[in-house]
Amino acid sequence: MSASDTRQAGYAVAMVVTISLLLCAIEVSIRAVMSWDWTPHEGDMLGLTTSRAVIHKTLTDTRRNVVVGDSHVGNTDYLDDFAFLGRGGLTPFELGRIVRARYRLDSPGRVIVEAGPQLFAENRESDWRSFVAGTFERQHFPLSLLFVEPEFASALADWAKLLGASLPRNLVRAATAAEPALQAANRTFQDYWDSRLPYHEVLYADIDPGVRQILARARLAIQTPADGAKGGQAWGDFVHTIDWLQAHNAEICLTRAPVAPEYEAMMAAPDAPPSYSRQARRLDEFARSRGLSLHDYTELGLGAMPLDHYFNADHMNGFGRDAFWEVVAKACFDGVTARPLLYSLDIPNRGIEGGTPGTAGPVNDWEVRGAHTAIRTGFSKIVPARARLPSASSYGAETYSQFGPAGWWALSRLFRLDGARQLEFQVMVRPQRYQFPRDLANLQADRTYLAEDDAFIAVRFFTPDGEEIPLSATASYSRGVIHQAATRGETRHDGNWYRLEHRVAVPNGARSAEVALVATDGNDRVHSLGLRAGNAAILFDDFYVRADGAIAAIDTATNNDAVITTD
Amino acid sequence: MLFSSAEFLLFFLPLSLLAVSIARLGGRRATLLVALLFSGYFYANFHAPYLLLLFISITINYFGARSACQRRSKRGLAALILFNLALLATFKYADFTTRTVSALTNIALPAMDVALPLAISFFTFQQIAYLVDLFHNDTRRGTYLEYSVFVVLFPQLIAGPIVRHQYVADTLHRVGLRPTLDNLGWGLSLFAMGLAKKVLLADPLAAIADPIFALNADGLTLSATSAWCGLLAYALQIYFDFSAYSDMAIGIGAMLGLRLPINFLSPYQASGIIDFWRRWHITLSEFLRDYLYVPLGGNRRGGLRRYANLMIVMLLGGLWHGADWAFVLWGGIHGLLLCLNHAYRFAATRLTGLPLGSIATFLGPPLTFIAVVLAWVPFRANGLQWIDYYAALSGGEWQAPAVTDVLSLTFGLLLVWCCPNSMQIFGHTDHRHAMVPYTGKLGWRPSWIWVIVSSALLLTALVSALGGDPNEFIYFQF
Repeated sequence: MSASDTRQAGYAVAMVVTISLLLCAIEVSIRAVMSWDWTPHEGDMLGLTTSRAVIHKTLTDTRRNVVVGDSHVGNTDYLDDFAFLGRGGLTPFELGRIVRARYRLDSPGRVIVEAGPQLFAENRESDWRSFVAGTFERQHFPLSLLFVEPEFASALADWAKLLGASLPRNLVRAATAAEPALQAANRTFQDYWDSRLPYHEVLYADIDPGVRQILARARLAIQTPADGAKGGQAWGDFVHTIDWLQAHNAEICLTRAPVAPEYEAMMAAPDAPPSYSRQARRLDEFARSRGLSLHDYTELGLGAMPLDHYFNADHMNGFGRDAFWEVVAKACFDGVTARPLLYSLDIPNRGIEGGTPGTAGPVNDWEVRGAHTAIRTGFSKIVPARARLPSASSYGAETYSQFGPAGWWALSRLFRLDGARQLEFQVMVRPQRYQFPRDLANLQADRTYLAEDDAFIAVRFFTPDGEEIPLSATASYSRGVIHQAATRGETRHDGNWYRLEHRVAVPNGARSAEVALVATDGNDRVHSLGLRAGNAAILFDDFYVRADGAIAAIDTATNNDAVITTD
Repeated sequence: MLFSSAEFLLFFLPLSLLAVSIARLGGRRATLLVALLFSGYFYANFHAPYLLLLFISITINYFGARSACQRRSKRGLAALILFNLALLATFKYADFTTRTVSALTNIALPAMDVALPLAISFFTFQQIAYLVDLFHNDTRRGTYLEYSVFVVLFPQLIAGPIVRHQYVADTLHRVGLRPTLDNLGWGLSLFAMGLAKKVLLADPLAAIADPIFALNADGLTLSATSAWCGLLAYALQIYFDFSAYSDMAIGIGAMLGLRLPINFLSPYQASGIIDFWRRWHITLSEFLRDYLYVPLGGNRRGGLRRYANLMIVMLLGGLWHGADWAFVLWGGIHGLLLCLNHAYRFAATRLTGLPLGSIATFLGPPLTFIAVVLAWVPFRANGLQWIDYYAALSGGEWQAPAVTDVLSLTFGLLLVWCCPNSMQIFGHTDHRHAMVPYTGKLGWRPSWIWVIVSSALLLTALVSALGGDPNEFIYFQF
């Protein structure tokens, strides 16, 4: 080998070693951040989302006993020696991925699998829904690595992009921003949550029974099992996961978590969708055929779980969970002990957690009691140039084919068109979801969120007489909006903030245009009472309008009580 | 499995290098066999059924070539070339033909709806070149295994460079593949630069260009500002995207011990269109020159014939890119520009005493750049939307552009105009290019600084690639 070759070989070794060391450093950093920072802060390098918390726990927790399921399980441990690996809204496909990822390097122990009917709802009939596509698919190394997970790598990639063609725009944005958006959001949201504490005075139990009926029906509507004689993909994925666990000698126990009496009654009502009873029978038969125990909460001797153990129609609060999981564990396995009643010891956080009797969950209270006015005022003072918009459903939003009433808009403005032929709108959007702190994240900004038609810019044109120009006259525009809402084609994302852009040609005869920043919401029944059942929000910022000719703002006619702020 | 995908970076590339390295213990043939298996898997990962088609094509070409060359049969050679062209016509141009016939005759013909086999344009040309070269004794025949590796080797299979058999035949025959540490450093560094170009430059520029062309596709009127921003962004994107792919292919080739040909040499610094085609997709230009332009008569049959030949070559070159008249138009524009350039050169040297050469030195690069950029419109726009796009470019309203977009474009333009290209930085020369080596401070050398630079580039690009779905390379569609 010549001296040159030797030098080149040394170079190659140095490069491989350097990259390996850097990757190790990244992995260690991620683990350190995830280990130290259990309190989520937006703007941290990684930010803590429920997805990341579950992925981290799945890949690093060494306990062989686990509880898996969706938000009914959560990822706070209620049982000794059991890791709770629940993720809100997950599909059975994802549940299977969690199980396989968890037991990739060791054998399963005791596994409690949630088997509620909502797991087989139509909106769970897919692969990826709660996690970023590809999650857990790259774990083929002798040890589990977090940096290869898209959820973590994307956070790092936001930093990496600073070095690319986006560098100039990032620099300009940083230089011209009054204050960095992330930090601003962080501080104001923390303040916001603090400001909400005094208003947590409503229990789910205290909500008017009529309203509870509506809330329960809304949940039922999106959780009804998909109809089908043999079950769909979700059922197939579920069966496949159980079979896999059995093949790997796991001790399996199936369970169904409690739902509020209104919900239970609706499932059992004569006019209930038949798929509920069909799914229940299917689960019973399946459990029998595999020799598994299936513990429905109604059969565990808990009696009717009191209403103050519920956070909403199908989620228990901390007290409910403490009571429920202890009973389930004892029914499933010998020698399992529950953890003490953490909630009663966790008084300072009870407001946010919506846990203790006498307080309410963080979602449905202030709208119901009318406290929202005060909160809104307070929030508006904290964030004078920003709008927060609660949304009823974080997932399963319908694709939009119309504007206005079906969604909540944060900002609506009317413009007179004095010669403009083309309008261009832009707004920065940041999706937010609120979870329980006990689930290790009360604030979430999932990358997947915006892809689900959650926010868009809607524009309508009107003639001089005030008549709306029908969509048929603005077909290209209509298509553009749907395109914008349904894909990222016109949506550029920059960190956790997304930029929605919309350009539209003014149709002939248009005299005025109304633009609205809309967050989608598939829950019309809840809307009809002005309530919101979910726990999501869209943050809009930096809205601007540009035109190629004169336009003039008309006094706004928003009459929208979700409007918090102005542009 | 894209070069910039997590699967390729984390698993396929390291595993294939490792496997071929281990296979060296078994000798040359073992390295080729392992490389063939990995390449087959790589291709099948895109669309498994067409792997069979690829190997049928390889088998017919290899054994057909042997037979035709032994008998010195021109008809045999022609039949094989026709076979390749028929394959291309069936899978790539059948729908195009029926659409065109339907449009011309107003008769509704059923759509063929045939999925395009990935890389068919590339492996077809590569094999035609082999047939012709072998017939003229410009290359060795090689074994079936060597020939298969030559066609399917994964670095260059999907989007080139279009490798001629003679470039790699000796290496494959005598050495096989040789992934050694001294090959690894240079190749990995070049690969890192290519990956960074793709992920950090091309993809973000697509975020500027794509929405604007999407609006154009939706039939919306663009302002002149938007149209120019979109066009410049696309011009930069396609260069960074395709040259990034070539860099990565050459880098991987080097890691495997193969020297693949140069494909790009700062095309946007070209002094004229002739010069541009010596710098842009060089392996395609050379293929078209050697296997189409020269056989047509080249410049040997008078001026008019030369211009006609140029137009034919460029029109077909355009069609090679895609089954759409817009690509033909793009090729036609370049053909016309080439004719003008040749005519100008002729006038400058023969007819006048004017200092046209000096004028060209100053005006050539900017004029060439503008012409090339304008020609990208039909290449990128959908259907006939290029008409609207040109209208917007020339007659649209002018607005203040977004400062951030301007800065991103300026950043990209400075890179392509003022910086040395990756081949210069890495001192890559191939069989044809006796490049003047780059002697500036940016030149690659096996030093600690380059270890840090390359590692940082690779890591940054890797993290970006892991964090999201990478954009497909533009030339994959061809």
